Amino acid sequence: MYRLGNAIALLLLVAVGSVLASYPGVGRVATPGELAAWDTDIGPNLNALPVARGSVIQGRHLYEAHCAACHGSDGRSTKVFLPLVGGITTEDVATGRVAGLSPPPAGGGSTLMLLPTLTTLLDYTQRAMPFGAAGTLNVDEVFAISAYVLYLGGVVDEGFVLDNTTAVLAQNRLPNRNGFTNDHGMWPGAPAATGGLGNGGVPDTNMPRCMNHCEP
Amino acid sequence: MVADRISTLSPAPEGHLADHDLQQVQLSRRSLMGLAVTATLPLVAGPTSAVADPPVAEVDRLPPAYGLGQPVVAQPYGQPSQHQLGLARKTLPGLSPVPQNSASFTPLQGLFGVITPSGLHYERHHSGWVDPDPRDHHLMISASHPELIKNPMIFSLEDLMRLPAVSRLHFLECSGNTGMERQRATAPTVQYTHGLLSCSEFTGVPLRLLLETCGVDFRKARYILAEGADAAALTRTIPMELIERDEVLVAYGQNGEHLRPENGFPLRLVVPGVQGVSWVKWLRRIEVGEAPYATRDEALRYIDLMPDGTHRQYTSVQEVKSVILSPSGGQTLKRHGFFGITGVAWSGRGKIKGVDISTDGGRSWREARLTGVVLDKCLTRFHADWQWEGDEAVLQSRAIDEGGHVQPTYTTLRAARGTGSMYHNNAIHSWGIEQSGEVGNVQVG
Repeated sequence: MYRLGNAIALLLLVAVGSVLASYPGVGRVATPGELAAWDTDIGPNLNALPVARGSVIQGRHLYEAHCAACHGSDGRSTKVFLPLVGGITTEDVATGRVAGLSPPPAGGGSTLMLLPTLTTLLDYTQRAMPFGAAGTLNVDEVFAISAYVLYLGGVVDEGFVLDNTTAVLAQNRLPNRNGFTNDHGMWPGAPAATGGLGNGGVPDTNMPRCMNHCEP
Repeated sequence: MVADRISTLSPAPEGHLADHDLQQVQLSRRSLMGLAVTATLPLVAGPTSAVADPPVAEVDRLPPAYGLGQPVVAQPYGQPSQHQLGLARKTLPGLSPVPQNSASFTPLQGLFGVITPSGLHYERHHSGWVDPDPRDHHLMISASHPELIKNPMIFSLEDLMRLPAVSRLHFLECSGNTGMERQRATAPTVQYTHGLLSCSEFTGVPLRLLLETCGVDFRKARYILAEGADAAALTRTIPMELIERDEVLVAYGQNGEHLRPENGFPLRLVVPGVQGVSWVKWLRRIEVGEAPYATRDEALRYIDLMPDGTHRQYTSVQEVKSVILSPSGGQTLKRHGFFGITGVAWSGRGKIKGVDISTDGGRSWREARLTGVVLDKCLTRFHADWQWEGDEAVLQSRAIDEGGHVQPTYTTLRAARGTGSMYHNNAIHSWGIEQSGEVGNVQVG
């Protein structure tokens, strides 16, 4: 009887719990206007970029006005941040691997030595630049400034216009586009084998628990 | 300085990074946590050699009582003893040219147990810290594509505080912690070698509950983008598996009170076992998506450079690690005899199973005692007894987690990953004891 009573109580509890799980009156549905206003990220899909257009020529003026004070007119200043450009060769642009990353470069390498994905540059410039005045550039200006940075680094020529259709051309010229790997054990989600990333959490430094006469 | 006279161990002097010391060593310009670093540090820690103090001075009378003290609420929010004010967060001069894009270090050498006082929690901001009015701060749950969510929603802090909450203790470590030590022993004290590490009780709502309330399609949405409202709008990708396991929290509480502004008031994400950058502060928006986002802080920074010039991307787990907090760099053993060795161990892969101690630089090891709570992805305190007879010694700790992962030596870590990355250094750390009793940062192997 006692156990039966407990079971009934448990069933009641589960039933009540499932009713409460909808939490009426807590939070509200976001409006389409809110969703559009808050959605400032530029996602990783090159085929789903915002509709925008900016040329190297336009970018030159915008860069001088908004970026050069910290990054230098040539994009190589190290006064405030790591350099935007430098350390890449035409061969890097061809292969998609930056030779200057091995051995590791002193100072950590420029943005264009590292950048694997164009959307990263567009997204960060839109969200966080200029430093301390984020959100003051419109999306066409973001595209123009990004195009100019690519030009400063020798990735595109002076006549380049970055838009939704030419973005893939720029992506395919990024010097380090083939320089990244997810083959490691430090991703806490599903492994690549089942559609996620990495090797499923297998460390690369496994050691025996030696107690005596050990190698330091 | 009565405390100094009767102690057997002098604490690391707080003047370690005085201006005149800072001229001594100029590190090569390197990237730490994505910062342009021109840090200067004294390589040699030793302040003074050991002086054999007498034991506690004879006191042949009952010491006087302290007399009538301060009234209640003399300090509406209590403060540490005036004798302990040297224990403070510190930054490294030259760590970053922009103080809003910088870090400060937790004074681990002076802490007990596993909880970090909230005011001493390490800081790493990308665009400075803010203290927003919580009435103006909201959390949006949205999707990269409308099909992934039935009802995108907006929650206020009050909304979130009405929902069923949980409280959990977890460590929080910057992946750049110990980064300066990757090539050689560099920093003088454990505050600078390991102080991008803290541990708190966090209170909040499981993110899974919010995503379910919004009707997220968990079959398709396998990633989230967490976005902060700081000027950098810092964003990171987090796998849905951690959310489905109910590990990820939208937290508003820390150590029994609201989050401190420096820790993201009013909302921050808690992602246990994962590096600090993913614990997005001033959390403003969660977007569910079908692919990882390759944001700036997972494509240009927080990436691990390998010897062949490739970078590992989406390295997120903080692997098994430990460090001795006392004796530690900058301290001095002032007498021979008994010393307790104590420190903390942690693993982003689960609980700590054991900690081993070596006093001979890693040739022989013995088990330390785990002397407090042993929790999932949480600091674990350890102690070991030790007699110091005045000989040189090299103290090390080595943690083992419940998965059997053993904290690596520098030899093993460098064989696997080289020395090019400043991130994810979980190697066994060494403190050298001189015959004088001075404790300094050394590396073996």
